[in-house]
Amino acid sequence: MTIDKLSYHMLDIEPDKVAREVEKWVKQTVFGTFRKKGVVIGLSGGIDSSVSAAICVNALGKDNVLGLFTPEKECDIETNTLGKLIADHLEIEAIKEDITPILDGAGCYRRRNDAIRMTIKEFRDTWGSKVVLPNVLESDRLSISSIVVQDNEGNLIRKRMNFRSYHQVVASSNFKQRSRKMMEYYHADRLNYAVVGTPNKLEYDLGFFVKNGDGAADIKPIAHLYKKQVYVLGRYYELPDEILSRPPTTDTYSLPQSQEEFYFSLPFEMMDLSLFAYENGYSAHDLSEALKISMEKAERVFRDIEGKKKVASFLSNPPEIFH
Amino acid sequence: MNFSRSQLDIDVEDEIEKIISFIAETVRKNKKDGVVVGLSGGIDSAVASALSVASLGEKKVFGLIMPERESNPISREFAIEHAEKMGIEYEEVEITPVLEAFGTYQMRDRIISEIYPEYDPSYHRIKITLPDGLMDRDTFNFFSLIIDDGEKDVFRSRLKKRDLNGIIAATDSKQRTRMMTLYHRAENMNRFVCGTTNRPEMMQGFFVKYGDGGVDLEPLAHLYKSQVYQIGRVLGVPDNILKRLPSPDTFNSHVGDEEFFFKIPYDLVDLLLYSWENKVLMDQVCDVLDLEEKQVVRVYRDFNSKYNTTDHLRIMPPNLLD
Repeated sequence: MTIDKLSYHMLDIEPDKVAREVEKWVKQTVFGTFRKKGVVIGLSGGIDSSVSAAICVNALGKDNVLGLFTPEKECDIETNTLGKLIADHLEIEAIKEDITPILDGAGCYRRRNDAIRMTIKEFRDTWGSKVVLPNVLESDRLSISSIVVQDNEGNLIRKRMNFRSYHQVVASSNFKQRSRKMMEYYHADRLNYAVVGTPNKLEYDLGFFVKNGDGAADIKPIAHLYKKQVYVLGRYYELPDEILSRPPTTDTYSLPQSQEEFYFSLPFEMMDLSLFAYENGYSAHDLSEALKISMEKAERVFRDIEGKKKVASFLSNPPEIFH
Repeated sequence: MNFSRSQLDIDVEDEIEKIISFIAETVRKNKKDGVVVGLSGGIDSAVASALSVASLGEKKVFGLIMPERESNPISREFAIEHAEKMGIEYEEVEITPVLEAFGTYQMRDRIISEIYPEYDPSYHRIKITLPDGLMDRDTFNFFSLIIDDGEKDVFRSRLKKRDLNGIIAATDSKQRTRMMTLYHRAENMNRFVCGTTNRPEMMQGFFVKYGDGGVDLEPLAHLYKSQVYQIGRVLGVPDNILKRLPSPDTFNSHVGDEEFFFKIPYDLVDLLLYSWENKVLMDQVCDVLDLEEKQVVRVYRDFNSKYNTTDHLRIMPPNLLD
């Protein structure tokens, strides 16, 4: 058997067919398997939650989909306006729950800022910050992350973090995703609804989510779709341009941070094809030709995927149980 | 098949050995530096933490005690006694501020005030129970709200589905906040969160999804409650904990696991669950447990319905991946 030469066209889909299949499955799973009356979905204003919401509206009817905005004081203002935009566009009811007081109560900001000060002593609570991972394409030393802070005059300072500082920054920030999920489950339990999780295939397979945070849900309707395919569905559902054209962000740190900076080593189109190549038995050589990158870089990308997949299975699986 | 009242007696030493290597292997395989366990002052978390210490050594087990303003004050005392005895590092984190910010108490009390307008949270205490006498009549799983004033019950009424959902939705945030707190600590220390769910709880879905069910490993999930006690006695769990009646400790008026969920005493839950899972002949079950067939049938019906409605708690969320 010959396999076709690796190319971006391999990820092409017929959106109407894909949409029909997933809508049918969502309807069957929520109303049939779960016997729930509808779904709660957190709306971030990003493409993934917007497309997931559109799928649910088509599958279950707009009266059975509740949108939730869960801003906190460090959120990008755009997140709020775009979340509102998609809820209005889909004509669904949406509730806003500011989670800042919960995060204050849990010590999220305080603990994170203390952790940043382990690396940058002069850091003040009023400054901005974000975590940046080194680009795997440049070197194999992926374990050392940096913290970038911005003082009130706009000056940037970047420093490598030690493990302890890094773990504490991430552990503290994860309160955000977990508090959001707690709020989604509150509304779902109250209404006898299911909670929708919105990871796409890249995030799901490579573990780009917080365990029991954004990784927690009763149903995950786009976990089988590459990022590019999610955009194709977004256009098929005729979502607003502002949402279709917004670059993916994590919106977890106060400074703007792209997903590429924080987790994926390549722009998402290239990441899509790399994961596809990895899963379908293509070689690093095939990947280097298709992406027009060096062999060495292609090999690094494969190693990165392999490592992340291992972590991902731990994040997704139910707890280990002794038999 | 033989079936007797001592059916669930185990070779405790042997069982401990097996669980110890399971914990060590799971932690090693995932390259973690130890475990974090929430200590509730109850038997399950006491045994899960003691097994972790036996497996990893006391330096690699961290205990978190997470009371809130409605917890039984004795719970934290027992938890501290046990942690001190094991010689592990532990910390007490009061979760009341998070619950207040979340609205746990306010949202729940608003619903209760609608049902009972005289409700005054400053001195009234509440609990939710299932009807007793599961074995003796055909009851359904209707939950009741009971309010007392510290001395006597002042209100009792069956809860409407909508109100029950609202109250549970609010109070489940207690378990979910504890989960968040445990993960914060575990991620900080590069450790795993150790769960404390036993077999009857696992089989009947008696845990909160992404709350106490949201953990990395569950060393007790295969053990019946009476087996957890057998291990606890050998591992030196304090008498205070061994003698205490199991309770979810979620409401401020005391409610036992039996009233709240299982509806029959735990030793009977264990044996009937075993006979249900292993399809022991009905005659034998009735004979050994001194029960009538219709009583057993009622309990099995309850098991079946709980097992089926909580299926989604035990599996990965549905998705369309191959």
